[in-house]
Parts: sequence; structure tokens; C-alpha cells
Amino acid sequence: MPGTPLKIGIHLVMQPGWHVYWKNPGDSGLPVSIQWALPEGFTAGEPQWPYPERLEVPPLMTYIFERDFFLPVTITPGQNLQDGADVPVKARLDWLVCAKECIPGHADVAVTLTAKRTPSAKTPLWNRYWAEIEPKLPVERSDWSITAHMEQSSIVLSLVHPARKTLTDVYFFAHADNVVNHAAPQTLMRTADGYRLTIPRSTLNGPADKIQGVVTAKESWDEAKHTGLAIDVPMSQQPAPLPIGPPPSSLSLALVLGFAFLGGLLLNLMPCVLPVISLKILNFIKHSADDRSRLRMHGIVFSAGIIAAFWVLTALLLFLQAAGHQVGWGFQFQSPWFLGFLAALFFVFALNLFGVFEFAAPGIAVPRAGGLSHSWASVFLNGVVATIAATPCSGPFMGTALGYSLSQPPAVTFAIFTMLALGLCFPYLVISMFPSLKNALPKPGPWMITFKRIMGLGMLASCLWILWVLMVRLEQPAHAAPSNPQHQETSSGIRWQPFSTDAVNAARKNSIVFIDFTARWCLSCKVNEFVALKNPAVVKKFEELAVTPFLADWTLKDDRITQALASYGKNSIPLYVLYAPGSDQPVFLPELLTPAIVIKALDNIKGN
Amino acid sequence: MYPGKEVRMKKILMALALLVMPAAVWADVTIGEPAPNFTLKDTLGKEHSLSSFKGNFVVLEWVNTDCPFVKKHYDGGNMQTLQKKYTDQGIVWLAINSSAPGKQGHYAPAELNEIMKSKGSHATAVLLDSDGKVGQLYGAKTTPHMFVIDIDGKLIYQGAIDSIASADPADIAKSENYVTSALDAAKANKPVAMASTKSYGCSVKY
Repeated sequence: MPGTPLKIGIHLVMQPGWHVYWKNPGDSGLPVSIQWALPEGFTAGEPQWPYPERLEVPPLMTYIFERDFFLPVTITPGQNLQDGADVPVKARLDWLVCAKECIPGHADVAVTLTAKRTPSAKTPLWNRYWAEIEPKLPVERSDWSITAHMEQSSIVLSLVHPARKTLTDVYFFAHADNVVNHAAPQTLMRTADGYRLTIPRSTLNGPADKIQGVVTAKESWDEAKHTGLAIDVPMSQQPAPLPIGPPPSSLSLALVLGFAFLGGLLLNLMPCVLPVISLKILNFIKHSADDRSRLRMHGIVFSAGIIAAFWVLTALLLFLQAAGHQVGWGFQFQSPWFLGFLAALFFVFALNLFGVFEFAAPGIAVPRAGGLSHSWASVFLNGVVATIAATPCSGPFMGTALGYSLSQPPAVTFAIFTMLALGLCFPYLVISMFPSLKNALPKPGPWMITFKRIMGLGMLASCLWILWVLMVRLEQPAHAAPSNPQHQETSSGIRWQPFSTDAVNAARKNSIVFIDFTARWCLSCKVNEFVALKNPAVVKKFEELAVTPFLADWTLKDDRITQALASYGKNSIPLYVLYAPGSDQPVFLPELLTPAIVIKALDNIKGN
Repeated sequence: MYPGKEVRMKKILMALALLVMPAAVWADVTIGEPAPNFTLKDTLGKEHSLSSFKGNFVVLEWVNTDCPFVKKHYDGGNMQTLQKKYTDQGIVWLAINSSAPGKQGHYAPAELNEIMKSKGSHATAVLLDSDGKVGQLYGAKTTPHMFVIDIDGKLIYQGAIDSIASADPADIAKSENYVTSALDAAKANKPVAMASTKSYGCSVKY
């Protein structure tokens, strides 16, 4: 039809074991090429290439088609066509077909078409060939957002999707033959909002301003089962932003659940929890003579309180995240009301421990003369209160487990938090189940009073702490702009710089970079800072190696820091990140620091 | 440590070493950097080292006489003409065959010598690299794949022999020969315009 494009397809059939090449043949070979001889006014468009197979013969990689090859081309007829006129179409095909050896081939093909007013139906042959290649024709999608960055030795493609769709077996086929190292493996990493594909570059100087090609995955990109995504995006010369999440397959769910349990267990030793739990256990020792079933019930109800509190917190967290808020574990510390409540709570605990007065309130465990609490509701509340008191602290393993939950469906997140809760209540549960264990514990005695006093001091310190955080929080409005390291160290300490992704990217080009994710309300962070980061030997090491230290202060609701944390696959603190100069790989330090750990890590980084 | 343990450790280490040893190292050479040195035997059994040619220009030509792209340049005499032209000027031309035993293009030294002679090759020497070590050292991907090294031993060109990637001999006359361009530029002390191109041809049969 005049003016209406039509498609002409080239079909090649190969003997088994033989193959022809894609538009980018890879390390060797030649693409199938078509030279058209068309009547006046006719134009031929770009051929529609399906994406190829990979033929790997180490150390080389080529992109091929085996058995059948079908290539449709859109031809746009001229305007001046007579109805019924003959249209001769000629083409010269050139190809290279190889098995173990190569045979260059060519063919001159011709077909005469007839111009018609009405379009004719597609032939069954066409339909059959088209159906075979159709799933491999690359599609364009607007739901995925793709950006490309060119780095020194690799090209990084970021693939972001709002619904965090899963992708596996991802591979990028470049259109140009001088852009990518075809034989080198491409690594896929999961990030908080999608994926990051790192593709080693070719040693040749291909186009650097943009990248064109096809991203393929096992999963289809749309409902029509297309597995190739067409990419044509500009390429930034800036290194890709920090996002590097945990690799998808390295952590099994079972392992993470184990981590969560361990994390909960260790939480018992944290300064927020130890006084509360030890108070409970002390209480228990006093009343271990009570009847077994009552003790067991006590343990179960207490644990139920803990688990329920965790569930409520998790639900709140998920709800806020789904509503688009950038929140992580510890989000409740943004609220002055919560801080006030927590300070009051800790104060009451401290008073109880000092024996100042036995202030019986719902949820506060008070050692009574007459046996364990009678009210199950009060025991349940015990558990809830213990959980609330635990929230400022985050121990080892917890961070990993919480970070993992970021990229998981809500059911998994709940499972993880349940394991955390179980870990937290485990010691108490065990003791309540097996009261004979009491024999392993010290006998009640005057030591208990001293112990309580020490715990009381701890609680008081925590209370003052929370008050300080509250004061700071009231001084500044929520969503304060650039994070301000209020606690600028004295000249004897590390000179921290305020954290920003751009600053870190600039700095890590030629110096060692250390990032401290912390917040005023994070007790573990403060302990680490006191023990390790303020240690003179560590400070000296920082200066000696000219480390650029960044402080990411999460005390206030700084979305960018929440995002930065998420990009590392975490949503809780503390987090310590190290970069070697010029490196893309972050090194994580453990959540409990000692000066030795920091110094050793810095030495290792320097050595690499 | 008990003697039994020691022996076991040694065995494990040996096994690990054996795993690592045969693997040749794939490198990609850099323009402007010294070309990696190597020593290979030629078809007459004589050893040649790249370092011994310092002070001369050296051209490396990866060859597989059964490959249609190599035939494109040999059947019409193009490659041989280039070889003669440059060896007459004192330039060293080394043809290197990296085909592994059993793969296309692999021949016993004497037989390969006959084949190259019958084609009228004027290469200074035809070197045998059947374990592919030198090919992988240079990152040679196709036959032909050309490398030009200047008198100081620095690599000044790597890639295709000419600008039209095809198996059609008729394209030779229409194309720019990158080896000629590189040598002409270097001899006139000018920078090489096309210093690194994508080579074309059959894959090297490692």
C-alpha cells in the first residue's frame, strides 16, 4: 500500500552445530548484513534483531543464533504507487556461518511485490517465524528506570523499579562491539530499590556518551513474556552513587532468621535491656520456690508481651514505609513524646532498682514480698515495657537481620522480627521452663542489693541520655536539612565531616573513606565511639593514613541518611563503612568495635 | 604437627598448585606501554625472544591458514606483500599460530613451515604457540589480529589488519591498512591515529 510500511523478513536455516552472528558478533565473527536495492522512494528501516544466544569458548565470547535465524525489516514504500504495480525488491545478504571453522556466505535475493489498496493478510509462514522470535524482540518499558555510569574499568547499570520486581540471570548485550568486555562475567547486585549490574569495559574506546543494548533476564519484563529490555540511555561519567546492597543469594532466609535470634539473645546484654531483664531474673530467683506451672506461665506471658510489642513495632514500621516515609529501626526516636515517655520509664526503673520506693505501675516489675505478680496483664505489660526499653539498643547480628528485611515481603519481615523477639525473651523463658536451673544461679543474698544499685545507676545514666536526646530534638525541628554533626570533636579527636553521598564519592577517589552512621539515641553507637573511635591509637591511625572520616547523624529524620543506609542493605545503626581509595567495594566493620578491630581494618584497606 | 598431617598438607597444597598452574593468564595489552616479552620456537625449531628485537619495529600477526579471513589476505598475496615490504626495510615480522592441538589451524612445525613457504610468506619467523600462552598474554582474539611494536619495545597498534571487516578480498583495495598507517606514522615520529581497533576474523582456536 502506498505510504504504509510493510515488513520483509530474512530467514536463514543452519545445519546443527552451525551459527550466524548478532549485530554485535562479540569477540569474533561478522554480523548478518543486508544491502537493499529498492525502487525509487522506498526506504528500508533498521532490522528488528531478536537478542542472541551466548557462545562461550574461553577465553572468547560471541553472540550467535543457531538452527533458525529470522530478521524482519520494515520497508516504507514511496508515495507514488499505482494500484497493481509490480514492485521489485532486491537484497544482498552477507553472513558468516561457523561451527569449528567459518564459511563466509552471501546470497542475492529478489522478490516482486504487488502494490494493493488493501493490505494482505500475513502468510502462515510469516506468522510461524515471527512467533518464534517474538519473545526475544527487545521491548521498551517505562516502569523500569535505567541509568548508566561509566567508571574506570566497568560500566554500571542501575535498574530501578517501584515494586522491586525480582530479576535473576541478568545479562547485558551491547549493540556496539567496542564497549563491553564480552567474555568477562557481569555481576548483579540487589539494592534497596532494584538492581545494579556491573559490566567490565572493553579495552577499546567505544562511545562513552551513551549506552545501547538489551538487558535480558530469566523473568519477563511485561505480561507478553518478553525477556529482553531495550536500553538506550545516556552514560554519566560520574561513578555510580553509593548503592551497593547485599548480593541476592548470599544470605539464605534460614541464616537470617538464625541471625535475628542471635541478635535478640545478645540484646539481653545491651545496656538498655540488661537492667530490666536482670531485674526480672532477680525477682525470679527470689520466688523460684513457687509452683512450677505458675513460673512457666509467667515466662510464657512475659514472652508473649515481648513478641506482641515487636509485632506492633514491625507493623508500624511497615506501614510508615509503605506510606512512603523513609524510616528505619529506631524511627520512634524522632518523636519527642516517645522520648519523654522513655525517659520517664527509665527513671522509674532506676528508682525501683535503688529501692527508693516500690512504685507499682502497670508493667513495672516490682519485687514483692508475696510472690510473683498475680495479674497476668501486668506480666504481659512487663514484656511490652521491656521491648520498648530495648529499642535504643541494637546489637550484633540484629543489623544484618534488619537490613535483610528491607528487601523482603512483609511476611518475611514479621518472621525476622519474631525471631528477634524470641531471642530476647529466650533466657527468661528457659529459666521459667526449667526452674532447676536456678541452682546454677547465685543464691539470693545481700549481693542482690548491690547488684540492683549498679543496675539502677545504669538505668539512670540511660535516662539522662534520653533526656539529652530529647533536648536536642526539641531544639531542632523535624526534617532538619543537612545533617549537622553537633558533636564536633575537640582537636584531640577525629575531625568528622558531615556526610553526603556526593562528598563521599568525591573523597573515595583518592583517599580512604570511613563512614560512621550514628545517632544520639543509639547507645551501642555511643559505646563504640567511646571505646574505639575516641581511642588515641585509633585517632592517630586515622591521621597517619589520611583517612577522610564522615559522620552520618541519623538523630533527626534525615531521609538521605535513611536512603544511604538502605543502599547498604541496612535500616538500623550502628553501621561503619570503609572504602579503599578508588574502590567501589565497601568494607563493613562489625557492630561492636574495639580499637584493635578498627586499626586492623584500616591496615588491611591500606594494604590492598 | 604429626607427620601424617604434614604429608596431607603438602598433598593439598600440591593439588591446589596444579589447579592453578595450567591456567594461562588472559591480559589485555595497553597502547603506549611496553609490549610483554615472550620466547617461542619457530617452525624450524629455533627460539626467538621479543626482547632481542629491541631497536627494530616488530609486527605480530596472529595466523590460522584455514581461516577464511586469513585466506582473504593470503590468497591474493596481500599479506605476503606487506611482509616482504617491511622485512626488506629491516622490520621484524612474526607470524604466530596459537591454535591448540586438535583445533583448526594447528599443524606440526615442519608441516606449517611447508604451508607458509608454499604461500610465499616473507615473515621473519613463524612461531608456534600451541598452548596459547602468548596469545592470551596479548589478548589475541581473532585471526588475523595485528600488533605493532616500536623500536623502544612499546606497543603502538593493536587490532584489525584493515578497516573493512569482511571476508571479501575485493575489500582490501578499498580499505585503510592499519598496520601500514601505524608504521608510517611511527617512522615519521607522528602519533598513530588509529592505535586500537576491534580486530575481525575467526576466533583464535585456543
